[in-house]
Amino acid sequence: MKSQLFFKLKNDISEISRLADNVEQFCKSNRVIPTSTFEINLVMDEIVSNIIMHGYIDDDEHFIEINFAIDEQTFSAKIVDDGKEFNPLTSTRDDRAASLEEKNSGGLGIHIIKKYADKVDYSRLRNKNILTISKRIELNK
Amino acid sequence: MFKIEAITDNKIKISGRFSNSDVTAAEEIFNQITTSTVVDFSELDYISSAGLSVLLKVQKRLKGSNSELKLVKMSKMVREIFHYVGFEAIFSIE
Repeated sequence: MKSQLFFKLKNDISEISRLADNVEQFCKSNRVIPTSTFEINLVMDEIVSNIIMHGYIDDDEHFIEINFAIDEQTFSAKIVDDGKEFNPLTSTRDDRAASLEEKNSGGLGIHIIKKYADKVDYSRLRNKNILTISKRIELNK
Repeated sequence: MFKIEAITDNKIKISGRFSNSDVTAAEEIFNQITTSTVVDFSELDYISSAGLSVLLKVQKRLKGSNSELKLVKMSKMVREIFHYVGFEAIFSIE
């Protein structure tokens, strides 16, 4: 049995708390264990924050469309935005081993997405970025 | 809900969720720090890259004057993020 949730967020950073609420509720109603919920929260937060902070070159209101789906083993999400073209998978900078002086916070979020999601796919279609992620999860008995 | 409190002159407590929407509130307190300071993580449930960036910036500034942030009582899940992004090497974590 597959459970799904669809919602939209505005391109305003205060929407991140609504995103977190939706993740928590969706995971809770599907009996996802806290560790998996925590990791889903991180991945979704990094993806959506990135879109809100860097995706738009105008000051207009935009909507980010989000679809969650879950079954016994896997959480998946599809995130669609009409911001500028950005494929997080092509971001290659990795300074995780850099010293304090050399360390830069840019790119941290992308590493977190790649670490905690098992699969990330990107496509650009009709001027929209479409990101899909999936993650193996554990459920409470 | 994120909360940050200056407990004493050199001790700060952060709690709840520390993400992009909380950067301004966090920086207001962190920017006032000029000497070595303990940051109590015991009630911090969550931190994203935005929170990590705030801490990194403060640590860089403090190290310039031979001071640092010391992070204490971190949960296992939060600690794993610090480990993964290579922050264990640049922060003292207890």
